[in-house]
Amino acid sequence: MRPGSSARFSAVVAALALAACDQTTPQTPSSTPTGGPAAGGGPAPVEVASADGGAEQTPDTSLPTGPDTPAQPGGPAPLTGGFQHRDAGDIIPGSGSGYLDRTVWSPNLCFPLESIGYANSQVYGAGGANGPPGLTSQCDRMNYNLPWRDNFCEARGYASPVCANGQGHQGQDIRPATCKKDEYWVVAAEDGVVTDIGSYTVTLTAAAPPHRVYRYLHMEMADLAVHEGDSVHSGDHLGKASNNFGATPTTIHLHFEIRAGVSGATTDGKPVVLHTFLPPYLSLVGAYQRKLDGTLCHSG
Amino acid sequence: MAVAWAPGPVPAQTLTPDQAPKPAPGHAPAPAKPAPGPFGLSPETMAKAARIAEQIRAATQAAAASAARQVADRFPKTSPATAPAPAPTAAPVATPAPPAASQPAGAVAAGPPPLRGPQGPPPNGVDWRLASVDQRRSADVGPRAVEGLRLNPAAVNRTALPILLLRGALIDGARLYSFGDYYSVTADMLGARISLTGATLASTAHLSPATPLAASPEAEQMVVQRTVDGQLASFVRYGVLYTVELRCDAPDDGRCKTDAVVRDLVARSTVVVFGKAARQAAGLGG
Repeated sequence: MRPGSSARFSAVVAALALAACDQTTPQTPSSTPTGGPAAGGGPAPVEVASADGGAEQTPDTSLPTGPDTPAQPGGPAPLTGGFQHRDAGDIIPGSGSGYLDRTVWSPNLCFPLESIGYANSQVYGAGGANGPPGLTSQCDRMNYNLPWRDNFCEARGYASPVCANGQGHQGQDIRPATCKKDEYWVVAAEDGVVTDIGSYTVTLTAAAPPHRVYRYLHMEMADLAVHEGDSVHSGDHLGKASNNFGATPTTIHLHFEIRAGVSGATTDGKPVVLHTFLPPYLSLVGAYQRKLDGTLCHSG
Repeated sequence: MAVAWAPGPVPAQTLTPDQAPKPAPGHAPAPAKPAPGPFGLSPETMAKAARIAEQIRAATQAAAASAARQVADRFPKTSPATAPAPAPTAAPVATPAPPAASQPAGAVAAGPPPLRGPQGPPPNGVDWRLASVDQRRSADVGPRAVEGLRLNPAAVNRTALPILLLRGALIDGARLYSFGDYYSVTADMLGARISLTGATLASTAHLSPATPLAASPEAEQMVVQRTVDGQLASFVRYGVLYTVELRCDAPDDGRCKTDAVVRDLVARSTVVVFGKAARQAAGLGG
């Protein structure tokens, strides 16, 4: 299950990464109503003819935001030493609430895609149910471009205690290198055991304390590289990014979650211990930077 | 260990640990800032942290006193455990009292024999004394549950925690994955799966008081969260953070739309099983 690590493949990945992350031609956000990233740059997406739907399609996954939804700042994406990514919590304006936590919950995370990836919103991106008007294709260049954008607290019907209003998306959406399903490997974020495989979910429980639970959604479930009970090492292949979501496909992306036990205080000051969803964005940023720097996820 | 893996607030762009957390969009801006305190936190934040720490200490003492009362009730003659049960030292929040469901009135007719547990702080913050009481209560079904679910005996014996299983025949087979201080049980239902996990409180991470959690814990710190594919309930019992999760194959499966089924599963989670490592940790021999 070791990922291919040939020099040729590494060179291709590096070339794609460099092409996508060229700091000499920084991208600026568009002036679209959603404040999404600008088109241009990045690899040419591959259009696929399918019934992908272009949106996560359970009836209540894209709840309208209320009038008191806090506005998110727009403006140019901050530049970093490595690749362009917006701040943690800086979600698309009007798409949900923010969050205060700035913890890197998995400091040694292996970036969960073997290819390059684009962290951004599925629902509020091009082709999404709440995407920009006129941009109806999930394969639009807007979605395959920098900067990265957090969508952990995007408005959904799911519990997310870390988010300001207690609800959110529970994970981060990441598109693979191009708009092609069943092509790009999804890899283990940490050494652990595959403890559950559902109809469109794979759960990896880390072997080392604090035993983070990583959940991967929407992989090509008919073509997984693992079975429940398999022990895996960080960087091992799990399967391929796709659009599986029960009977109705979603967009081609990986929904990636980190869960663990945390203790803290509730909004009304009461102590609480719970197992919950933690913002993966900063861990992913660090992991991606390490990937761009050529750091391997495993030593084998 | 509690904080080693979560090195505290880190700014988004630099990933260095030496700056104060930035207020996220959508939150009120930080007040005018006096000189930062440790970790770059403001005096207001530090004061709030101190207040919460005091609340945690008070809650710990209250839970310990509650646990002591229950132990005294259960061991009226044979147990010397009338002194307060030792509070977890590594856990940030007190071990709450066991649930009413796990203490049916009159269930122990003659009273259990004295425990031989250690007198010092419980290993890993686990309240083995209370867990042992419930393990005895379910002794008639525990071994049968392990056998009936075809759980791997080696994994059971490796688990140094009280393993919680479901009372009632909802599932007829399950897989146990154990890391010693953490376990995960996966079981299949028609069109869904159940996951049961247990972890020491020592392995939980502390979230800064500057990041309040929008949660409303119930008894046993139970919090139920709707997930993309189901319902997740977590609760603290015996000083262990347990989860019961229901995951449905179809996003529109009614069992996963509301919390009724997962709450029923939590209510059924009363079968306590000790493997060899747990018995040793409880002072009950291997």
